[in-house]
Amino acid sequence: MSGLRIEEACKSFSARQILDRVTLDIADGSFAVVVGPSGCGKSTLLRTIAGLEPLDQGAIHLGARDITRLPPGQRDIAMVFQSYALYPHLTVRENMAFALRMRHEPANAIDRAVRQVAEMLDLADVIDRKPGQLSGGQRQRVAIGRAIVRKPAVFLFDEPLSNLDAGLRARVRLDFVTRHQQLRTTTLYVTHDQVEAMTMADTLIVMNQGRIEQIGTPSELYARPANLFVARFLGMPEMNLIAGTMIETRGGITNVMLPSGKTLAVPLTGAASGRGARLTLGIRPQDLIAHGNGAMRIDASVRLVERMGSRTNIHVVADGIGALVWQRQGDCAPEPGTPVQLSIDASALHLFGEDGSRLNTETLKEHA
Amino acid sequence: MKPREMLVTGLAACVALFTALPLLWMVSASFMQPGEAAHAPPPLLPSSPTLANYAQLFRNYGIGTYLFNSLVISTLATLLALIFTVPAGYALAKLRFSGRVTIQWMLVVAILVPGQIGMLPLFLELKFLGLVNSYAGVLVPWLAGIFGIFLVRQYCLAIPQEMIEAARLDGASEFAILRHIILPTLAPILVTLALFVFLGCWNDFLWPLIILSDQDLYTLPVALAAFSREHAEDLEVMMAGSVITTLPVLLLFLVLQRFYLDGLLSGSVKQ
Repeated sequence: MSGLRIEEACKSFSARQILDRVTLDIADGSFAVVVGPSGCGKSTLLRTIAGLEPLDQGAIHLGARDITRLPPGQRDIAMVFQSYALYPHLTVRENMAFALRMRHEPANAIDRAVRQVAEMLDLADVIDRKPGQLSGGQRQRVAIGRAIVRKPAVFLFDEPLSNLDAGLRARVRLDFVTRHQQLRTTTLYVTHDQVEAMTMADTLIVMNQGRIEQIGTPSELYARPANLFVARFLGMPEMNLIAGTMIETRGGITNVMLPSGKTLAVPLTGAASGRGARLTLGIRPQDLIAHGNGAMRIDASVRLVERMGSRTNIHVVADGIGALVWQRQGDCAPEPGTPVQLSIDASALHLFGEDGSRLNTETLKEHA
Repeated sequence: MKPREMLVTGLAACVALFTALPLLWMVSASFMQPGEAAHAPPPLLPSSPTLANYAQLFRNYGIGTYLFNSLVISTLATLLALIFTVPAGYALAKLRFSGRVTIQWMLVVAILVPGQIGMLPLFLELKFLGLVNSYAGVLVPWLAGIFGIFLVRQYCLAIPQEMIEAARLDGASEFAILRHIILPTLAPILVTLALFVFLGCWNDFLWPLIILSDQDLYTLPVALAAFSREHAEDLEVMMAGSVITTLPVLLLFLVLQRFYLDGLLSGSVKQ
């Protein structure tokens, strides 16, 4: 078994805390994706797991083995770098064989393993070329091949697609998922691209400022973000956030006052905050509904339209709220300045407390 | 060719000729009959070319021994310098260890001190170690030149750290990384460094003169200087000796020139 467990990992460079008590459990054979903004510590997390940076504190276990203090070569972990880090003076074949040569495996076994992986990755034709003679996509596959050929317990990927153009990236993404379904090797994949994160992960880990904000399946994180950071980070366009103050809760309805003084009646009970508490309402652009009515009605006017073909992002300015993004299916193009009436799909409303963490909104659905 | 280009090419040719003329005359004079080169004005070409001067050098003056000494010392110096300088430069560029910055600063400071100032203390040190008047004594200053260390260090800085880390993850030891990953990447700079050390050691005069007292251990420049004191009038023989001293390194340089220029340029524009 080669599940990966990280306990209370801390790492700082000079005075800057890069990893702050990171605890993480990655099940054997799963594809975990760490996502977060630049500088959030995700690459450092990967490098400490690989053994390239020592942890200041904490432990790393691979299956039953404590690998915290082992040198990188003895951890049974392979890593694919953002820059691929191929050996420029060696051919594709020699690049892929390098780790096996270092383990003194017999030459014919090395040759067989390398040929097999080269065929699997469609590199057989270029096996005697050097990295400088390959395209970006081919280099990327060599880097993956170099990792696969070792049959490691864990794969680490550090933004491996960021150097590819958009079309190739989409293809390689699918390729990764297919490959993982074949190999079933525990994988930790770091990216700042939320499309990669959402589409590839079976466990998604959102990091910010050296801490883990939330762990779960991509749909869990999208549907129930634990805090404002996760809510804002996942989803394109970003979730609309509306600041408000709680006035009163009565009969399963909470009245929230918006900065403009307007009141919004939110079907919420059991919120942990009392009267006067500052709240943030979150609503995803596609959860705004046209032709709104009732207490959750918002009057707005169109400011800008982004037509994407299959859907349209309409930027509006809402009375008493400010800028919102409203996403509609299909292609439509309301003129800027057109007044629109929107309302909020109450079942899709997210509510965050003063500290930014999610409030209990289980009851929302019942009232919707 | 445009007039401007012609002018520049003409000027360059003049300067080249001006520089090459003494060297060419040295070769020419080494084939002249005894006393011929001392005529005024000296002739440009030998009237009846002879190899007698070379024969005399090898037969009477034993220049074969000095040629052998120079070859052995310069080759050893080159090999030893590479063995010590390359790991040092690589370590300073790529490995993290305590005292690294201090060592770098000490080297920078040391490079500012003219070599001649260190010669007396070094001599006393080697005398204490019993290395005076030996090959080993001549070799010591070449073991780890600061210039070489910095040359390797600068070049290593351009090697991506991730490549070394990838090798570590592939299970390579630090020595295996140096041997299989770093050295092949450094090839052009190694040729440059080897040339620098070989030429420097081959042409070095002052240090072998100080450290060697036994004539059998003399290197070519020291031996040649000794001859010229004793046989100043045998101009043709001296010129033959100069040719033997100059020619091997000139040939070596010409053969390795391509790699040498590669090495000097590639540090700055490495892809």
